[in-house]
Amino acid sequence: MSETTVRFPAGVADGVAAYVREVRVELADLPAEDVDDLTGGMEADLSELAAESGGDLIGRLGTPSVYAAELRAAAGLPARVTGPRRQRGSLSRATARARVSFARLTGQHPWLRSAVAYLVTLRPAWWLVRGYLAAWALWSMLSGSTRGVRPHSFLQLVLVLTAIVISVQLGRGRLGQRAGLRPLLVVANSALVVVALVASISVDDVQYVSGSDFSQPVGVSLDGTYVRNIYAYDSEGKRISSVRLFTQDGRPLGGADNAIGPNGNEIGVVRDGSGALLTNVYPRALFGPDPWQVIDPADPAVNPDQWTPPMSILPLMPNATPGSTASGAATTPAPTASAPPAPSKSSRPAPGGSSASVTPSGG
Amino acid sequence: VDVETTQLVKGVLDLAVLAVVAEEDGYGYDVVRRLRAAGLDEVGDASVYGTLRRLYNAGALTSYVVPSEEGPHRKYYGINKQGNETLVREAKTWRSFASTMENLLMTAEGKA
Repeated sequence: MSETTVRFPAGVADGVAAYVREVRVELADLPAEDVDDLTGGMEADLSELAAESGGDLIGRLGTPSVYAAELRAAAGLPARVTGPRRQRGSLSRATARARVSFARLTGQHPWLRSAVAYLVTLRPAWWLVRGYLAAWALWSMLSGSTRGVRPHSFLQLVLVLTAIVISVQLGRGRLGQRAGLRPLLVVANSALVVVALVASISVDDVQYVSGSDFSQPVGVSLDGTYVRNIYAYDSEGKRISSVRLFTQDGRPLGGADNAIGPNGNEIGVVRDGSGALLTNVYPRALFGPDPWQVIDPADPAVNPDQWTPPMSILPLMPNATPGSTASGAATTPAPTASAPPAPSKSSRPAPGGSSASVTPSGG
Repeated sequence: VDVETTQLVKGVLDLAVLAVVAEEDGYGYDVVRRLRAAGLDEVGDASVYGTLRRLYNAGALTSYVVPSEEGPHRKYYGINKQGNETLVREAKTWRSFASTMENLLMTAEGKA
């Protein structure tokens, strides 16, 4: 006898699990106890067999239905009740044929078997959805509205819960064990998928409306990126220590979340003469008292690409800057390549030196 | 030839399985492998599993599960007193049947 535990590759295990599941389906008309007895330990055994025979279970054992029939015969159990006694409908014959050819296909492509095994793990989710869809369909028929079922009213809640319980019980095989019901179930499932498609279309209208609220970023943004801070330089390329910005409508250019920094810290609150809170004063002091500090000194994981505002940048062209005498400072290149040399006509000189600050508060 | 052998194996599968399990406890696939190693190549996997199950239901075998830390559990079968009695009785039947057949064939082949 060989060792009791062998490690198998995951792909083989999936194939084995799928095979065992198919066999259990074939035995589904037997009492659950018998099914458990017959398939107990089967996974371990088939895994060993699969590892020896290169994963080709169907080549070695035949299709799950052939295997199950042989198992029944040898165990002295009756053949499947869907057999000769009941005249099988053309639909169930077709599904049986499809199942056999699918089993052959998965025998040739183990990945397909893995994919199916994965989908099968999602089955309980489908049971829930199916129950909800069934309630939806029923409600739509009764009320003539396709707006869907939301458990607002007691009646709808009861309807949804009942439908879900029935759907799950059906899925677990506790209801409708009789084989004659299976084709009916296939038709019902397909109908519900159509309901789901109709439902998703009618719900979409609602979703787009509410979705547009979220797509609009709050505060100041540039090409979709949130603008956390603005560093201003005067015409001589020197830092402006404090500036207030307004839009064309006279609205303060600043986000409502002005008082909260990137780490959730409170940014030094700026007020005007009347004591009103200002959201449009730049640069904002994000880290500590110095507004030109762009890196959190306490943060070890600083982004190495973080741009740092230079002490000064290139001054504007001489003809646009009347007081162009004092440009002896260090001339660091402009921060980004796309930064234009500034619209020369409209740029006015800063009133007093480097500090172009307070505009009268508009309220 | 295969079909004929398969039919013959079916007739003696109970006895063959009992003999293998009596030698040493085993799980389903282990029993299949030992039957094949003994020369019964035509034995079907599912037939062996079903036979093990039927013999267990008839009270001729014991069954126990060996847990595995790495994979699914393994189901072992062993023989019990009743199974041993069945084995002895059926072995006797088989031997007498086999010798009857042997004599019959020797007579027929002697004439040919």
